Amino acid sequence: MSASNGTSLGRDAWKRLRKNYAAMAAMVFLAVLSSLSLLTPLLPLQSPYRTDASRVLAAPVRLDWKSNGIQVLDQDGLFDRGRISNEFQELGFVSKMLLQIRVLALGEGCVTSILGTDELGRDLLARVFWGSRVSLLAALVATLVSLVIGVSYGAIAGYLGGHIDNLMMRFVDMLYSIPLIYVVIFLITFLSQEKVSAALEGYGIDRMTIFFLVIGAVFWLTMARVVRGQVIALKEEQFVEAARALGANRGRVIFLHLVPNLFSVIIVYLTLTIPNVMLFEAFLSFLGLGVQAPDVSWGLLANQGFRVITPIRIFWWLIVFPGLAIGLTLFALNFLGDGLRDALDPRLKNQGS
Amino acid sequence: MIRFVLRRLGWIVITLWAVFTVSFFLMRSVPGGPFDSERQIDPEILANMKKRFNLDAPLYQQYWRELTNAAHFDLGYSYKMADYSVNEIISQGLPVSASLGVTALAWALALGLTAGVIAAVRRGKAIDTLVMSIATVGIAVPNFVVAGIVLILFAFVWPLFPVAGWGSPRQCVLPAFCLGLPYAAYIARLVRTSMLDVLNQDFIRTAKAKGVPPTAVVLRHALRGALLPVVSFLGPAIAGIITGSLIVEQVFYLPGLGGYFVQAALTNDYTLAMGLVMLYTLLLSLMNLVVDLAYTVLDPRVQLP
Repeated sequence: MSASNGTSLGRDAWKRLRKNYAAMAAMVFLAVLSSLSLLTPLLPLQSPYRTDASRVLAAPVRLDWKSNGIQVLDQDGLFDRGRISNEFQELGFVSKMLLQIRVLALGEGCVTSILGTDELGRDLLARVFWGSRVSLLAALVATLVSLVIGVSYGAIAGYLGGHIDNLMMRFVDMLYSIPLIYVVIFLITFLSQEKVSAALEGYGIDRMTIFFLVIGAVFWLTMARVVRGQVIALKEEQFVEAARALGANRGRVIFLHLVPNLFSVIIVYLTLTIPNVMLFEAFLSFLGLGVQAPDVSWGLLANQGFRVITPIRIFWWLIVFPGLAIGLTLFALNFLGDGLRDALDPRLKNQGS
Repeated sequence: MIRFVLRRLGWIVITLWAVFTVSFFLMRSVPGGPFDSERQIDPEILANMKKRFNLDAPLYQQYWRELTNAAHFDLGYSYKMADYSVNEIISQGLPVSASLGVTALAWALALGLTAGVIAAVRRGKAIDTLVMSIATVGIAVPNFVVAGIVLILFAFVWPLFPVAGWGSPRQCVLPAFCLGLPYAAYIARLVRTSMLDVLNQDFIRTAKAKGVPPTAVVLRHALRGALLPVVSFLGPAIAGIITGSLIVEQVFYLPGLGGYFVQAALTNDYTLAMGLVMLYTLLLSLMNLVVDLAYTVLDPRVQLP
């Protein structure tokens, strides 16, 4: 790297990442997935909530453009004109607009149930797509929460040092030795007690927000440890001293001078945290403790698939397709995370996990 | 050594106390309880019930009584499963969960070690790529998805094993497989990396030069060194297997602790939930301690702090 033509850390990493085909493929997959889930209201899907007693547990049908590609189903079938937008009770403003645009552009046509239907006759394809919105949102929000807590906690402990650092880190050690999934379940049960949730509702915190916050509050421990280590290494550097000499207070030094220097470490741990958080959301929703109907998430869909198993019959599509959605996404996230770690911090390469 | 163990045990006690205290006050601060039902209860019955659940005294007395009880391993009565004490429920569920966990761990270790060693020895060959790809899938795909797939394959399409239930070894196969798979995958990756590290070291070259047969070099000389990261992974792995058994027990309808915990959470059975959290905290901390001690046995260079 010559002085006249330096490459920034980001550009350098990007160059390395581009050579990693698996990671790039994962990135493209994730980009497509997130745009599709963002634009779900625009897609010609059936309503994810509309039940239909005549199509309960229907097996997947093959998509055939000539006979059943995109259909407008009349009263006897699914929708009559102008109905699709009435299927949703609670929908954000943007989603409502998108839905209107879809009806204007594509009419009421819907893709047939190529993934089959569930025990209430709801279309699984639509449910997987609408569920992706909740699952991805949960992963993002909870990860951000864990990021904020972990980075601030670690940076403060590392910068202050001494007894405070010691105390703060013993606390982290203690939390490490508690099986956190149990604590989270305990907390969620507690917080969703009617009285408690009514009180929280008063502050404008609904169940979903609590859920996101609690998951995020679990996954900050590793981040805090890593950030603390880095801050301790950096805090004797001259730029910190310079900032202090210029009269910057502690908060300013920590959050404006130290934390930006941890960018690559933070990114690496972030990409490793997102799949864990997603998995955790799926776990909790699967157990019936996370996302609640009528909302849909992938974990909840898988749970519903398992609930209709009987010793003699299995409705495989209800398990396979939500499972595939979770599996592929987590797979892509893992690949991208590994690739990013190798790109941003080549020293870590080939060090196991 | 003894000082180390004592200090760690001290920390375990402090952790348990903190868990107990926080959950005690959380529990007492919500209005729900064992008599949280619609119908009116006789004042006498109510008084009796309060007595049974230690709810008839001022808060600090309740706290003290429950704390001394818990210190004597008496976790009180379940709020929702009438006539069961938490200890009875634990003694019913723990054997199931423990045998499932041990089976899963044993199988994860066996598979992971074998796969990792083979991949490392055949580095860069097709089998290496194959093993590592499968390992990545195993890590990425959640338990319940694996469970669904093996259920479809081995219980419905090709009915080798029963769908659910507990009691015979055959009923343990599918759950243990699903529970152990991600850990097998992780162990395989760990062993491969550390094995590659060890195989490049001088003492391995010396052993080879002395004419030790290749299998003995790998199994006796290299594997010992390569085991260290696996041992330190066992702590988190045990925690994960405990956690994962929540899901697996749910899917296969096993009468283990995980099922009871989910039930307790769904029905607001606080005493049971709290008892189980404390039990798992204790188990996990003890396991971590054992792992740390095992580490020093395997690697004499490691000094206990």
